[in-house]
Amino acid sequence: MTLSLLRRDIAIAFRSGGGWFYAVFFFAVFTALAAIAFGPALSALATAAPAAIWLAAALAVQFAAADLFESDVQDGSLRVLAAERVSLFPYWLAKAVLLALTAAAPLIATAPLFLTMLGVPFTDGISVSAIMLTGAPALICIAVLTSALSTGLRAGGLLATILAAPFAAPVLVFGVSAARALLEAGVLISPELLILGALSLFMMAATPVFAIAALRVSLE
Amino acid sequence: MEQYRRAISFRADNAGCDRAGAAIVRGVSFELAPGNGLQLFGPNGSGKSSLLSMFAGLIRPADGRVSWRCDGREFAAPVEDSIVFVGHEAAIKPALSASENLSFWARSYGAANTEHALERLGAASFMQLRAGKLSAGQRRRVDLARLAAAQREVWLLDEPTAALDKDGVHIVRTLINEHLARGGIAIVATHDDLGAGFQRLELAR
Repeated sequence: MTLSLLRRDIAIAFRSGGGWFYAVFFFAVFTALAAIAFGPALSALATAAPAAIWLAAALAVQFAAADLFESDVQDGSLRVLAAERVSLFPYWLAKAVLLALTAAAPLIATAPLFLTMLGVPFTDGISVSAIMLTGAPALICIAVLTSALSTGLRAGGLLATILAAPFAAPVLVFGVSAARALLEAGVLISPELLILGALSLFMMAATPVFAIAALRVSLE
Repeated sequence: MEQYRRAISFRADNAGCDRAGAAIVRGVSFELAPGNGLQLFGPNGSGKSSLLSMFAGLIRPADGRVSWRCDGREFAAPVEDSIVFVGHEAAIKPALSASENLSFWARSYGAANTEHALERLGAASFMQLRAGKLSAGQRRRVDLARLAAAQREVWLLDEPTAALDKDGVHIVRTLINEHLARGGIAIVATHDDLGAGFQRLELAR
């Protein structure tokens, strides 16, 4: 079930004008604009780099999730799926993995490249990618949950971003400080990183049930 | 014709459902034994779709109760892997071909023979076309091919003949009758006449 959904959604993402590409494109534009806005002084750039890269990642994942459920709600696929089986967890899982593959993974893979634009050496950039990998599940779970909550509403994507803000705040706080600990003190396995990992685990455990409940309510 | 594996029956006792917080249907009672079909009538907005959603377990009954029986045991929710639900929109993706769309659903039913199902619906000639390029009637045929692909005992159909031509309506009628002959049950909301052998339930606005 999860696999066949995932195969279907990936085929759609690749065919409908490169939907998988938008997140990484947004990420590139955001970091480039940040680099321009912070000015050419390399020391100022390096200080701002962790914050800029985390903000870019959080927003890119959030925006990529904006219409995650829209098509399935509009054409009745979600109603058919929910009517024909007991659990929607495989459906949630397929959407979360889809977001991981089409939005989070390209971001994490290209982050070291964009970090060099912000004055971070490439090898340090790879470590920052590892930190982002630790926090990515939390960002994905939050994006899926808020997208499910705002499905079927007008300007749902904007509402989802607003809903996501309080959940995303701790991820950003610990993600940025973990990246700072790495870039300033050279510590990869910092307490902040461990808290970031804990946040990811917590979101993976806590959010599916609420996302699924929100989807079921949208069918009533 | 080969009978279904399980004998499933359905019963509604004075059941009712709400829509947007307001009572829309009340006092629905009927019983379907294996091989029985029910036709839902009523003007637009009389609650046919809401009732079907309630039978599928998506909406809790606001009044009364519904129950399923499978091989002698009773359930308040639909029996696992027993339902095919056809909504009033065709649940297919424009970016995928007709046969890819059906293959996706067939995999979720654990069914294999999608080509045969598309042939049954007269959809074989356009199965390689992207669904976005198909007409409303063709999309409906692809959506209905799920019925022929899945081996499931309960069909809940919301306006299955909408957008279909005469030939298409005939195919749907034949499919439903074969389904009933195999011991399945069907609840169909439609304005078309399904013929004798169907219980009729008329909803008022």
